[in-house]
Amino acid sequence: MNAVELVEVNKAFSNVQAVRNLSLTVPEGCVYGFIGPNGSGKSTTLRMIMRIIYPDSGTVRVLGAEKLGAANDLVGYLPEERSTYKKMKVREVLCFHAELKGLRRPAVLVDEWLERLGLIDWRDKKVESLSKGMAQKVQFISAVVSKPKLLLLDEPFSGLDPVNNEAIRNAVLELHRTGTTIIFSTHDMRTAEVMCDYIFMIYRGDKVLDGTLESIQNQYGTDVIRVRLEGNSGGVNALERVRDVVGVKDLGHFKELRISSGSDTQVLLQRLCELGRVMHFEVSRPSLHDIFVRIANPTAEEADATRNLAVVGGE
Amino acid sequence: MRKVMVIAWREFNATVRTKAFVVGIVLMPILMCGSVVVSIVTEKLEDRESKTIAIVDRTPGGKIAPLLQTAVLKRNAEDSIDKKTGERSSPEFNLEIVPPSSSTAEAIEEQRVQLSERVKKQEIIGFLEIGSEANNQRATVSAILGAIGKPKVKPKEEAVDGANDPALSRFQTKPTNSGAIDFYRWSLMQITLITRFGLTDVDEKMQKAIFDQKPPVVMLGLTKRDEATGKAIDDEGNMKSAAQLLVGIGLMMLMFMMVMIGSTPLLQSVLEEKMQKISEVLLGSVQPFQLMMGKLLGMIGVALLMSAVYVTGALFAVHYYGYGEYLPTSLLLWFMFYLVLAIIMYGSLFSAIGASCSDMKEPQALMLPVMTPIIIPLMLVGLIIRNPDGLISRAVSLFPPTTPMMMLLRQALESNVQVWEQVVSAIGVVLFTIFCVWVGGRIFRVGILMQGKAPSFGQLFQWVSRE
Repeated sequence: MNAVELVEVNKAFSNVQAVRNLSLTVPEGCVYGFIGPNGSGKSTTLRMIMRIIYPDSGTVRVLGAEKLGAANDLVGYLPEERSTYKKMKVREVLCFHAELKGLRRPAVLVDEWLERLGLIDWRDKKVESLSKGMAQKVQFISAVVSKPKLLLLDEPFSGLDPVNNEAIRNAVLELHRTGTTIIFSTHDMRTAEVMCDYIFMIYRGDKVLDGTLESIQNQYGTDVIRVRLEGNSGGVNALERVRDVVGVKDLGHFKELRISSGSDTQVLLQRLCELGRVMHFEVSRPSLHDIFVRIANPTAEEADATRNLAVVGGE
Repeated sequence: MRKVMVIAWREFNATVRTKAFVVGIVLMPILMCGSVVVSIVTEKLEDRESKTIAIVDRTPGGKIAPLLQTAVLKRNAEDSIDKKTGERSSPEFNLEIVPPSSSTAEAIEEQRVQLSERVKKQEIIGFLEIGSEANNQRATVSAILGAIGKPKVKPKEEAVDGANDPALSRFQTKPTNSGAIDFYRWSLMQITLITRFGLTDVDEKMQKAIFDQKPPVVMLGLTKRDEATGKAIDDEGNMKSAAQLLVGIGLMMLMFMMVMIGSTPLLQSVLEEKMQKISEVLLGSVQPFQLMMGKLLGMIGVALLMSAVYVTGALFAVHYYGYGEYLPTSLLLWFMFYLVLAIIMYGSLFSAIGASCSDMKEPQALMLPVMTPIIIPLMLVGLIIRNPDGLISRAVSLFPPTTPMMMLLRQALESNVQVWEQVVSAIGVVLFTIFCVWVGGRIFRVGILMQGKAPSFGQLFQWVSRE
């Protein structure tokens, strides 16, 4: 059974088409990444899967059922903009959320998760006394404590420092191991590359990519060669003139060369040796960011936004 | 349903388990009753003092003043004392007889000015100037007729300025002084007696006898036949209706407070949760309607808790002092019934308003139409008390938005509230409440997810009617 099926879904908000003719299938038990810049329609799609909002046309099937409302206790949801009752204590608020999902005696599970994410000492403190990262972890727990079969996380890593980021990532992977289907949205391409079985890219309401990272890379990316020549011989212009080089990206000391498909990398290496001493020659697959830039032709700002995140994500 | 209760329980606890609530529940009655009690007590204290009034008798021979003195002494000794408790029920009047000035216009005015100064200095509370013709019966009657505005019988006579008519007496004081007003009313009767029946010419025994009369009319309640003994029994009248009044107003004020405490915070709460993005997290687990009902039920719980505390306290006090009959159980049941419905009614509308705004400033305009039916009953209290079965009272108590408070008041006053009125208004309130919940629910559902400026009424209407 597929965890989620969307067929020709459309949604508009006062003259803006947020989602256009969207179809996608999320197999059970996988990690599915929704990527795309802000305002591309990721959150809208997630909300439609949660049945918090309804599509203008098309069908949404979740865990095999078409008619379920948002209160589907088998689906965990972490919205992009989220907060919880600040005056409540951590344990109390988590038990509250768990009970809303239908759990009768959530205290034990809540404590387990608090332990796992290093928050057990804070269980009787009020939420308002937590730091931002800790509060985010609490939010995360509130979405997962009820052992959902399907988990929707909208930007779960935003605002987290690397340590907490890691903790959440590990938690997500562990849930994956226990069979939970996980859909998370992010505009951090790096994390998506690393964690997802499937990647789905949306841009201005339209689906732009859908498949495994490998199939995407195979389909859309040509190989990228990273080179460093001694003394920066020739510079960008010289490199551009080399046969089979289609494009050059200047990364400072390193240059990234895009080559025409079908060309032989070994032949290219020889040609480069003619230009100067080759200090670094690396054949790498194109990054998701690059693919995105290439196919979606976004505005310069959107491209920068995604790239900067890719860099921060841990090059 | 279980989810609704989870939300309700959280809402209830979050409100009740705070210091603010505990302090408030104690403070509120103190503040509300305190101000009333303080004003009653200080009034009583003031009343204990004796009041001095100056009398200027301009009648030839000045025989009216001493007669007034006799009357006043009798009043102080007997009439102004409560027969039951033996305590003074109204202040003592102390008359100071002041010799009249000469009868020139300036002298008269001068004396008035001087006496007015004494009033300002609080040496006396007022002064009564008995006109020179006051004892002249015929002149008195025509003067009174003149004061009412009928034309003088003899056109040759100068039109006399009403207030300076020598056949009239004048009492001058600061109009806000309630003791002085009491004296004025008392003196009306006495001066009328004295001047119209020429008591100054009657012998002393006769005078005393006339002043010795008890008030000729007593006020009582209604007569009913006791089923057991077959005897006709008179209700006590004053006592009971005063108590009923207190109970009626008290319960209505309590309901007003509870409605304000139980329903208005919902607007704030819903709006805050929306602004802080808590709502969307919750909507991943519950339907919007469940969220709204949960919060409503939670606040009903809060209001019921507070009312229970106050009503229990009141019941204790009332039974302790032996006035148990004034707070019948049926009335309390009606109170609970109306309270719950009122909170649901207003609460759902306030929740809807909160859900449709995105900013703290936006709700103001939308709040007004909802607040109006809550405030109207307060403004009409006086009217209802004076005329509980009049057209306006009935209309307002049958109009569902104002029914809870108005009907409760009427029932407490034990007026002629017919059974059909009770039934019709109860049904009306229930139906209207359901309607409010339905409308509120639809607005809530759409609004809670919407960002942007607050909708106009037209847009709200669309939200309710579409889909």
